[in-house]
Amino acid sequence: MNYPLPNQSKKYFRSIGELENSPEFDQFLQREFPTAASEFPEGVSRRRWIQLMGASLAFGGASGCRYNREQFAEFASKPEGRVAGVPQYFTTNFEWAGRAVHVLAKCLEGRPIKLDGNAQHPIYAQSVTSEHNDGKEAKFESAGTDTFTQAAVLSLYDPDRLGSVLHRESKRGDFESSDDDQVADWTSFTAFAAEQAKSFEASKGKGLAIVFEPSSSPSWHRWLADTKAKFPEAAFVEYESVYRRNQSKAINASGGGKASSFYRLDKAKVIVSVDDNLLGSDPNSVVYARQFAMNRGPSEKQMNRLYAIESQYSITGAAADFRLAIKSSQAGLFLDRLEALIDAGKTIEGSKDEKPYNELIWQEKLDRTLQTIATDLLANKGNSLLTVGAHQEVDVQQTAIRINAKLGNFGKTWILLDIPNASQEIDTIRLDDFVHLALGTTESGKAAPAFKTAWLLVPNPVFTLAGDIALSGALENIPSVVYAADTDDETAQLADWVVPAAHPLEAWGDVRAVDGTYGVGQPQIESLRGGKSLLEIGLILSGATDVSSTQYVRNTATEIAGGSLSDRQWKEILHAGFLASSAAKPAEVKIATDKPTITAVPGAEAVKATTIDLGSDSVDELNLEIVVHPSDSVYDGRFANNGWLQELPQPITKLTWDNAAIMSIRTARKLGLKQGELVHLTQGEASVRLPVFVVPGHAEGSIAINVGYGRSRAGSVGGAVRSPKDTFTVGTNLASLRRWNQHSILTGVSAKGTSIPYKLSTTQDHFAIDDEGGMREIAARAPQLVREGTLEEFSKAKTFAKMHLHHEDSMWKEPAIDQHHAWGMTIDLNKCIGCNACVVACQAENNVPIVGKEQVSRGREMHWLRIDRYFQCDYDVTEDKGDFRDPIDPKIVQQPMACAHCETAPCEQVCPVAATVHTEEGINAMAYNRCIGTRYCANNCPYKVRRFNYFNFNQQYGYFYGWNDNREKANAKLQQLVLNPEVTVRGRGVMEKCTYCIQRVQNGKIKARATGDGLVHDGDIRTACQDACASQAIVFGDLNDKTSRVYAMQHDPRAYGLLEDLNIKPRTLYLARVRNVPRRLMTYDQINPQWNTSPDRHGSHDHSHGETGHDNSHEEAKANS
Amino acid sequence: MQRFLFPRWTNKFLLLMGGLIVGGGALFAAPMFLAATSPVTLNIGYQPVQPVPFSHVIHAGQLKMDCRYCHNSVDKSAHSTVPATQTCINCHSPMTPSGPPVFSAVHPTSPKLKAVHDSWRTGESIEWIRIHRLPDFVYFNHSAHINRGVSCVSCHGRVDKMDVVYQAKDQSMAWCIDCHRNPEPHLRPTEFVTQLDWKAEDIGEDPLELGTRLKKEKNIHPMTNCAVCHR
Repeated sequence: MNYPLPNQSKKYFRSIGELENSPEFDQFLQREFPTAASEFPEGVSRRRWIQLMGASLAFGGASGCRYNREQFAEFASKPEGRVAGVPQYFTTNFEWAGRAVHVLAKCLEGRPIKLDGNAQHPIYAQSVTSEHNDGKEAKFESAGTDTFTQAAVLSLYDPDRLGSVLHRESKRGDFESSDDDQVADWTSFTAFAAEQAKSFEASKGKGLAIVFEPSSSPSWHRWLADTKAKFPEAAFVEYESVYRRNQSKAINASGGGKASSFYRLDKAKVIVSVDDNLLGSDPNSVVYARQFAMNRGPSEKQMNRLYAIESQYSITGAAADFRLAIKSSQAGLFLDRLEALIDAGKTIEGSKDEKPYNELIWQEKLDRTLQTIATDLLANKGNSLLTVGAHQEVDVQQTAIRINAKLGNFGKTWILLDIPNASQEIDTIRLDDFVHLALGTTESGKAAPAFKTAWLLVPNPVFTLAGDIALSGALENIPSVVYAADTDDETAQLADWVVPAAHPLEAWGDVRAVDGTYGVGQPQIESLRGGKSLLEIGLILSGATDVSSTQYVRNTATEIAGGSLSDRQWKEILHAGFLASSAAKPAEVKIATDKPTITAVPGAEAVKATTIDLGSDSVDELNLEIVVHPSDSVYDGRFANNGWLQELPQPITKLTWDNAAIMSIRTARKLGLKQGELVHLTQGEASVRLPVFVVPGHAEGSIAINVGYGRSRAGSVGGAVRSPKDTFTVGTNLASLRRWNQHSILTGVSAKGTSIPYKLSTTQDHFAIDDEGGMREIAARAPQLVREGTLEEFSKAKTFAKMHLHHEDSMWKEPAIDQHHAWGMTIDLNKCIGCNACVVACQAENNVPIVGKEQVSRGREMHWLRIDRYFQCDYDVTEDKGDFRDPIDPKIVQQPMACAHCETAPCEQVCPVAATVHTEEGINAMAYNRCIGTRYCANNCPYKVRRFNYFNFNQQYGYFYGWNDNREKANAKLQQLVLNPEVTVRGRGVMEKCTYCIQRVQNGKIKARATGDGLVHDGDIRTACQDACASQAIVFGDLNDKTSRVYAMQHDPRAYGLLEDLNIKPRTLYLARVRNVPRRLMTYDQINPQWNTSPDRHGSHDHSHGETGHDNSHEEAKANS
Repeated sequence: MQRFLFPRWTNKFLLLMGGLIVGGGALFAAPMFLAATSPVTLNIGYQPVQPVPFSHVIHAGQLKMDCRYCHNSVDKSAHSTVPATQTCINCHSPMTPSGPPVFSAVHPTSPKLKAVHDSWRTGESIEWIRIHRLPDFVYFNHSAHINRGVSCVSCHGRVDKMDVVYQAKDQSMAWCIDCHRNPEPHLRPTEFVTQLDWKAEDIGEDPLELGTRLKKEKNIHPMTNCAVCHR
């Protein structure tokens, strides 16, 4: 059934299912609890369930009525400073998913349970939002983190991590072999390594290959240099699974030498991101998100402008003021045209009576976009920044560098730094050359295999490598392979010595931040699985066992500090988390602005497009483009066994536990593909089959796919092929399709549908706020849920986001408000970039379980905080004459949604047992032990933020869904260590939801009373999501404190509450989004905003007036239906 | 012989009888259940045998040691921990190979201190048995109470008179709320919180007047909503 649309020009929708009113979506709309609640999850049979329940009853009886006897186990001798129940915070720095993170680890009873950004670190401290530069910002500022860092603690307690040294003498490649007879220990490995090192010392390292990942760690650089000196003839193979070297190559080619880049988004008024997910997948996204948010307060003077030109809809595109979808393979052409316009130096102002942007055809759109961007850049010389994604080729990078040089941005918004690197003189070889040398296949024919030994000090190259490089064959050809492994993974199968690598929270290490600031990583806990860090393993292998890794790192620190480092200074570095004023000096280089003669990049045989096509007419099913991205969840596959990340709804797609071929609506239609259908993607002889996922706004003719899925030996969460019968994988492995020479962008791909449906678990339709009325109601209400306008609109009427509502009196007595505290929250939609860090932070803080793919597809995911994503578009009159089903150039508004703690909470009115009640301070509290699981509250919640435990997710599934019960109990204990003891672990049949981090509120109040002046000051209590928010969009505080930031924000003209017309008085308010769209790129609606033309527009009367509504749209909609 | 059959008119009592049986059963079972599961029945008087026959009467009562000498995190943390073995060893050092230790040799050879000395030698914990235990979903915070002048005695009774410690108060939710609603009688100046035998009269004050004054001075307004203890 199709719902008629109201007379409203701004159109919002959330998903394709919603647009098309698919049966699945209808079900999510109509039923609060989709499908039968009593169904048993996959994998637990009914019989098994009854056994479990029977057993728990029996235990209940045996233990009698008294509590279990419990013992205290106090230390014999207590460590200094340790107080039971009081968390200790330590700084540390480590590399995680190819990025350096600077964190403050919260350790409780000696175990790290939560990581947050180290706000004192110089790279965070320099990007303090100017609007709260009032001297008290330090308390508020949590530096923010990314999702990977938030989930790092779960990886630490992963029982699947390798727990011992394995020595496989004759069983390499044997998948059936059990691990038991291969267990060795560190002593035997050390003896082997010492002997090997001795023999290589004699042969100067001939026949040795060292495969490593690029790193920012000075100690690692030093080790490489030391090892090079010791084994001068050894081959140093640098391999990066997510290749990011093109930019530094381009800088080198443009005369920048070996300088590294650091953007200053806070100094840029105009930012153009070309196929670059600057705020998402960039290794420095946290820093850049902070810098970006600094100038996001809407005002003519201050607000920056972000253009995003990209193929896949990324969170940068969603945060952008203006976005244009083009193929990634055409980004170079786009830049060429932009460069030509900048060279011409002409600024083009549009005439007043120009057509609005959305009424143009695509050639005109492209022209106008280019002209506007060029004009904007020229007007902001030295104040602008143009960036290009790391996956773009060197020549594209060079064009971008030239444009920035011409605009005079170097040294202002694009800083080139001279970061010392002890290993940069080492000549490295590429992994494909290594494979050829190992196999003895050279261009001139057969040669002798070059290597006797390989040290693989890089995570899982066999899995992450493109399919056309025969690494496994090469490894079999090398007599001795040592591999530092996280888990017994795909690569470990092919190594004869597999040594467990420590988690970075277990080991000494160091990093350099993006600005060159040196920081030391200190272990937070003794190695849980007996692993050693890569540095330690390296030291053992190179025979440098006379120095511990601690001493090695300290020696590096001493060197960097200038030759001497006292104990006190060393402790200061550890305490602060960085070496003061160790930031790198700007490189003294001159960037060339003249076009170089293009030298062909060896092996780049990609078919280069010559013209830019934006329209869907050009979509050719035999010549598509595939863009391979690192996953926002599992990165290159290394986090596949991390349940938090697997279940995290990926930005924009909201897909969990899977990767898919993401494409636009028109491309899918042109290719005859449906959502969720399996498609064969073929390039030459290589082929892969995976499900289709349709996202509006994707570039036509382009398909985006995430890597990192389809692991065969990840563990019990991320996929394991133990035997042909005992197999499960998560997502699809792309290796067979990927090509070494086209690491990210593949062109000339053909697609062929199979009509085989595939079940994808996406959360985009779950918990739809609109309970009835489908499209009509959504379209009518979405503009009230996510309010936005342009800067122009905002300048004219600051209160554009306010709606005029009739305020009814409450039906019941409103709770008295405490005179001491009134907790509240605001979320600034202008700053929120939808990066998901808050979602994982909430999960880590509040013991939120994961439920697995099958349960997610039933709408039972447990995340307390979700990020709603709304597409918005205008009628497109050009191609489909206003067919709303075919959105062109949709914009995205993202909205973090958690319990809003309504003053007159509807959930409280319907709870039969008063399990959810209001506190005097305005928090809607949950007493889990009272809840009997009627789920009335979730039914009555207008925001759909309550989550029900259909099963004992925490026990039966644990943090690692699908975990077999028959493994050792010790593993269950290990998993439990990640739980936050400050929060109750909920059992089956209990409702739960956001508590405003009540444990932090209570502990903050207790702490304030015990120390200091007894008052809670603004910023003393921060929620977990607020701490994780890099862009400082989330602010929590006391509304009774008139000087608090949350008070100021709640009285901002942009502030609005969700569904205010229900008179539920939410404590969480949102600040409306303001887009800084240039006039020439505005759509009709942006030029003629609705709110201002009819100031008396009644927000929504449908509910308060029932059938007597006098709202025109309402009447009309009714007439149409 | 004709079998006796209840006459038809008795049928109308059938329902009544059934009702009486079920109702009577319920009437009996409900109080029995409540009584059996009441904290008073369950917990008061719980007095397990500890691995060390430590006497609070000697230490807290006769020697007048401050509670916080051993339970030293009580004013800093949610938990009031049992002391580390090291704390015991401060006074009760074991014999050294060259004879009794020079300092703090209180009963260095006593067999009652065997568990303590063993723990000190091996580094293993002494396995004290927990007496006062709240359910996992209750988040009681010792420091919040101690720092506001609620004495140990209010919840734990006269521990200084217990040779073997037992649970003296029922520590149920109703009992907690009683005090949260009416805190005045339990407040005292913080310097006296660990003096279990202290009375307001000792400093010449009326207990209620003092409590009311302290409540105002310290801005104490205990709340009774669920989220105070349940998170």
